[in-house]
Amino acid sequence: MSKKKLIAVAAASAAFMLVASGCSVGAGAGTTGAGTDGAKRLSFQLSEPTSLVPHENPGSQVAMATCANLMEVNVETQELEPLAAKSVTSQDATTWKIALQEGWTFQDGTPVTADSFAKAWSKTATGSNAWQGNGSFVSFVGYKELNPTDGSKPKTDSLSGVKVIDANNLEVTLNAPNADFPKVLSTSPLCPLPEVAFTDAKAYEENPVSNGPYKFVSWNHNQEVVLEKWDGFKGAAGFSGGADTLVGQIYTAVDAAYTDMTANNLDMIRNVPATMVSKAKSQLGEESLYEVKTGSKQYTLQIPEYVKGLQDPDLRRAISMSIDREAIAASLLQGYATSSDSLVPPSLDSYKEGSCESCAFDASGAKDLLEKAGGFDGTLVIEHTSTSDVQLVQAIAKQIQDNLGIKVQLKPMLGTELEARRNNQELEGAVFGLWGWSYKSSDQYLSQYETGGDGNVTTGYSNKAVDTLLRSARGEQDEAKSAALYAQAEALIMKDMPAIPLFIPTDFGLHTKCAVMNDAQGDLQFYRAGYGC
Amino acid sequence: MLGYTVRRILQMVPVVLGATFIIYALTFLMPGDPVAALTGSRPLPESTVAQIRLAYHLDDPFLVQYGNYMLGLLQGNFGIDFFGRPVLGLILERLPVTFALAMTAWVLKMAIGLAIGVYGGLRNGQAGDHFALVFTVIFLGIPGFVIALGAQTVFGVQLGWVDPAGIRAGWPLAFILPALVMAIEASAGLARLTRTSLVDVLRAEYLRTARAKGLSPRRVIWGHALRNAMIPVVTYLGLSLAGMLGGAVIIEAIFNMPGIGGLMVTAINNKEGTVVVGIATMLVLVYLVFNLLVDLLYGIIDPRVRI
Repeated sequence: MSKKKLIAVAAASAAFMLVASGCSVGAGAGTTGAGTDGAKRLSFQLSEPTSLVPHENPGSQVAMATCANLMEVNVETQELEPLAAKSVTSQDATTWKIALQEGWTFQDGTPVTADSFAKAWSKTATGSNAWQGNGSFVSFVGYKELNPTDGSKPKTDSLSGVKVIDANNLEVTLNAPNADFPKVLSTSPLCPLPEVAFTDAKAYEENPVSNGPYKFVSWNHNQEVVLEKWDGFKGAAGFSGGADTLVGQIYTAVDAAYTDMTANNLDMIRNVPATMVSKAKSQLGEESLYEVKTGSKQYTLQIPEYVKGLQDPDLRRAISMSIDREAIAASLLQGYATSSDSLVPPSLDSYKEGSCESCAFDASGAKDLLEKAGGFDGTLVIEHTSTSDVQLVQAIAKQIQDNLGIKVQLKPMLGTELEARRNNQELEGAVFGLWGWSYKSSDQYLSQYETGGDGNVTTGYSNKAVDTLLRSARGEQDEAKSAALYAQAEALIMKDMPAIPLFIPTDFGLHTKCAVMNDAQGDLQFYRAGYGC
Repeated sequence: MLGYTVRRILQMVPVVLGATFIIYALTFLMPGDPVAALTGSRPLPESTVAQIRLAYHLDDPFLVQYGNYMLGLLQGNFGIDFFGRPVLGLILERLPVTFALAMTAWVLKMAIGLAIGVYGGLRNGQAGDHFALVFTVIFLGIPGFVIALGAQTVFGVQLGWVDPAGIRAGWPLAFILPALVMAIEASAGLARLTRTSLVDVLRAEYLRTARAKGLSPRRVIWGHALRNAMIPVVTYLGLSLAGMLGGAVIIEAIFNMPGIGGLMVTAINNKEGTVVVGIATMLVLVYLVFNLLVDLLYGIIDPRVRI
């Protein structure tokens, strides 16, 4: 038998077996590559969504494309602007009046009303629904009642802090003043839901209807999600992209997506790993890289207060000074990162250049400071996840070890294990981590250092003066004044150094020539991409 | 034969129980907190965590958790994952892909491996045999993912014959390349086994007798030698089919096939016990069924087994 024949026979028998076993594998013509029929079609990398409902899966690119929130960042101006809202106002940053744009509808034609928001928020804020967006409502009055910690059933099913005034007006009351509230209104968990989402939740999961620039067309599980531009969208051009059809092609790993892109089957990838950037530069060309304009993430080495032997601020400063950030950024990170000198990235208003004085590399100064602090004879443990950044942590550890002459031990582990150790305050030393914002605000970075604040469990840092400053900064609606208060708080925190700022990584996207990428305040969102062919 | 079959099926019950218990225990003992996997570095509010722990009985002792799980399983309920999706649905969504991939690879492997093995075995010690030997050594030696990445680059990216990642083109087009990669690697072992088995049989007394009786060489080889040489080969083929179902993980990852492997890896990383055990139970069942089929097939090839 010739080899050709053998393969034919093999294929035929495999086909028979498939039929016999009743399996059906997603057949159908694969139309790949952009714009074969003249329509503006762009494809983007997606992982199989856990849900297309924005409240359940807030990071989802599909959810962002289909939902138009009350407030949104305009890509053209990079400013937060009202979208589905006409205005969002408050006298005291505690009680917020929200007026909706009139005449907006969902993609099924039903009107978008104050109720569409209020009901969606209450459902998301109900802990027993276990929706991922739940945490966004912690600051709302009435959140506690919907989330009893003793395992009992909540006595009510709606957020008492949300009042529907009439079809187009809402009032929200927060537990404490928060001038960032309009920014919160731009995040996915605050999206409205149409009536059908409450009457037939199961069907809605597979066929979501929203009010955004793109409408959902189909979801072929583990293969692709197709979205189509919706004519009824009333937002300006700055809130959506240029493609008529957006196809989220589902990949299990970024490497597979990259390969597909080199074969011309995919238009856009976001959050490209640093290792892939150089490869892409040579394989796909410089023009395929999109550098995100706003640095919104930061690597830090956080030092828990409860770890014995690491409490001395001078010791922490010495560790910080012994790290040659510039060298690591230039060599290991290939220039795709800048060294940090502050607890917040420079893109924030409260940023003060060099607020972390001991972030400048000074090996001999570090040694002197260590001596002043009484030396260190133990082992400095650095915990981190084993899946990423291993080389980076190794480089940092080596710098500390060589320049300070102390023993450093790395503890790589699974993400779930590290999270558990962090949440139960069982860390044995410093922990390496990456932090980013959900919306552009100094509070997103500094609340980690507020007693009981978001992420505070990691360091357990507590300072009454800092708490007071952060609270007043949050309540201050004048942006300049608020930034000054945040800067003051940061200066105080920096004295105790519960965290050592390290790097701000440069975020990259990859695209083919048809896709014109855009980021909104550092977040690359596929649905905002322009069409350039 | 019927009694034998029934006995074999009954034997499967303790195996399934034992296997699920071990896997459930291993997942349970894995370090880390499954709830932590839900959130990334931003912690969930305490109350949400409490609700999730309660809903999934995460704070119950291990035996209670396992007991609850097995009770559900007996009612055909594989449980739900942390996003509230039924585990059985997740598995059934992906199983066909892995099944089609493994089956295609298995058939290709059978074709390639048997052809080379028989070719080498019949030319024992000659140039053809050496060729077969070299082929098998090369493909046994090169790691599978190297072959996979090479094939992907050449046929997927450079020549563009097939999509390098994903199953949009459907079966067989999207499956042929990953299956061929799996088959080529696996066929080496099969070829060597077939060759050795055939060489052994060809030396046997009864073949000399057959030849002495004046049977045609074709009759001797196809009717007597191959039939006997196939006994160990069939065992190997049967067991390897089940192995291929579980072993497709790397190939699935490289070629972006949304099969069971990727689901298993994510579930392990997220410490999602119900998903891990669900998949494992499924694979154990498949393995046992294939094992049973092999044993039954034995009886057909070799009448002595039936007695």
